[in-house]
Amino acid sequence: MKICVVGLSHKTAPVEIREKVAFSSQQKLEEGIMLLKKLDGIKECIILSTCNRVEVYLVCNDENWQDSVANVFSSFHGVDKKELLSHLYFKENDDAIKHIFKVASGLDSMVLGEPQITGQLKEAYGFAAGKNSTGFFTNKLMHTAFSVAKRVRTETKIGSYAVSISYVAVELAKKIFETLEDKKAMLIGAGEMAELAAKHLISNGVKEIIVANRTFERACMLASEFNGIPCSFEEFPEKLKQVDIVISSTGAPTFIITPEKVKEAIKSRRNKPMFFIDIAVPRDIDPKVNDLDNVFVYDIDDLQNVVDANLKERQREAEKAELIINEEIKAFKDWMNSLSVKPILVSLRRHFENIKENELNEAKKKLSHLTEDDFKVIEALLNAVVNKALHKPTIFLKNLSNKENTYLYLDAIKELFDLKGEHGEEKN
Amino acid sequence: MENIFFYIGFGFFCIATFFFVIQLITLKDNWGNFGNYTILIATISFALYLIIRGVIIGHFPVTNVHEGLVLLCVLLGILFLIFFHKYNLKIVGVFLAPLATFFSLIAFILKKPAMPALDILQSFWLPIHVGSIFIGNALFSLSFVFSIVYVIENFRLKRKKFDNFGKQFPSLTTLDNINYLCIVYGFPFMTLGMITGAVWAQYAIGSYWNNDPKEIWSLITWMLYAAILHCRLISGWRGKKIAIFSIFAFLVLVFSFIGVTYLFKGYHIFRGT
Repeated sequence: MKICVVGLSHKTAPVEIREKVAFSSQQKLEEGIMLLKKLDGIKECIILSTCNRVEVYLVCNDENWQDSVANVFSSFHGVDKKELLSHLYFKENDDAIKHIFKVASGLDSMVLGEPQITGQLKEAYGFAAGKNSTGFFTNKLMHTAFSVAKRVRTETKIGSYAVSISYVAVELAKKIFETLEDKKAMLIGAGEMAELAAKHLISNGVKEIIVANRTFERACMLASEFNGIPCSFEEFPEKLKQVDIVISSTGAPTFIITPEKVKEAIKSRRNKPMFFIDIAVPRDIDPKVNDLDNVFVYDIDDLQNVVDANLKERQREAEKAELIINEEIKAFKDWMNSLSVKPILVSLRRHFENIKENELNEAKKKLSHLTEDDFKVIEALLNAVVNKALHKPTIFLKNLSNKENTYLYLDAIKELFDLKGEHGEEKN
Repeated sequence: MENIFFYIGFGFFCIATFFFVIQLITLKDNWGNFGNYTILIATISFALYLIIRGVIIGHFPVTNVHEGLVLLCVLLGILFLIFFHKYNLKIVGVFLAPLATFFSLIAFILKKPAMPALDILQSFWLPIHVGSIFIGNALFSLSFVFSIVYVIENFRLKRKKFDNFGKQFPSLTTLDNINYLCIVYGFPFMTLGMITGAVWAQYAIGSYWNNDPKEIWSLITWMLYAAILHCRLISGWRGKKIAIFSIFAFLVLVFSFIGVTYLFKGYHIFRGT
């Protein structure tokens, strides 16, 4: 029985391939699972399909699983098998477990440490469980993967570095203002990134947004999107006095926000700080504005530099995460190894022997009037009890390999007698 | 016997400084927590030291610069522990611990055995006058610390440096507000200290103003802090200007407290025979 991974991701396949191979609807997902389940030797399977990766996690005992799964992929999606094979990766055992743990904790994601994938994996697992394609191993594997993801998140700082321009802008605003709850923002011009930044500001507490645009209709349209107040382009220098945060992204060829305008605004604000985010290229805000006291100007390059630095930090944290993952892989492998008949038999017997020894020693202390010979009789008696008690379970365990669901029984016995952790010494 | 507490306090302020510097470099919070406890121990030791000396000489134990500095460290420690809990600003310890260490070091250099003050100074005015002056001094020390953090953070943000090192520190607005609070609360204490000093002098010497160097420099310091409040409230100054002004005022304060005592002669020199 082994754990296998087959799949492709943004690292191995371009989007044209990924979208062809994606299980984009629940129906497709279900059909895929059904097809895989029909294959010989495949006991359990989960399909994870996101825009960046399509992966199948399998538990199987078939030597030729790679070929048969590739066949399913190519026939189901109608993609040439040869082409598909050049993008697919196949992993087994340790490699597979490592890969799954890395995916779960976002270490394999396009944006390193992105937490979204953990949720997607949970969904995929839930879906597969609903279709009865998960089982003993995948359950344990997935639960371990989620706890690995959680450990990585809490024990490293991988998530604490903002790696998108708009998040960095929000963090900077908090660094300047402490809270954004009572702050006003102004959006000058439009653009995807500027609007995204505005949305982040709102979700972080900014209550009021003024939207200025060269065409007033566009301003009204955007304003309604943010629940903001539209204002004409001519009005914006006057409005500067009311706002704390300015996001500028116009197509203007020259600076539209000059030190003179800001000086006037800051004066009437009695030096309350202002934060300017300049997303436009060419820039909208004269960099000299940054020289004014209590005014901070960050242009697109400044923000990008912070993002780059944070990405490097995330990489450093990812190395710490690897250590956690290696630890968990070892624990998981120990668990798998413990699930064979011989070690369980040994530790089961040892468990009973221990009880016997303890009870015998207790009795010796209390029954000091008995002789050595008496105790030999008592010990023989106890040995007989242990042997008789263990006889049936031993026979059962020895014949277990003929049964279905071997692992379920083995695990149940481990749980029943609390044999966890003892397998280590008895592996040989 | 009481000296043990002085050395314990001194030692622990040094250790606290060390812990906070490590926290600053490694970004690991637990070092700051160690620093917090060390400051607590140092503060308690210094307080015990003063109490024992007070018992020995039989009155409020601030009769020289040495004891004054120890009292200042105790007040700084108490303020820090309060601020730490209230605003979760343990990182401020990075600057406060060295400042307390610096004051303890000078106290160590100027250490003198316990000795009752001149009869003329043994009065109920002593604790009121000295106490309120030192509460003011402690609050101004905090203002100094917050101002330094502000200037550094402001500089870094202007230079577009925004990283985890900086994220340890409070936001600029918080720093600015707390600095202002420290001065707003420190100023009345200093004023009270100066008024009680004048009244006391009137009783004891017969004149409320004696052109003593300490009096003159204290008045200068007082006027500087009054000017800061004026700039903030009336002219609406904020941020860097206020921070730099606060740093300057504090340096003058330190001079009028320590420097004046040793450079000039006057009856505030504490040096009772």
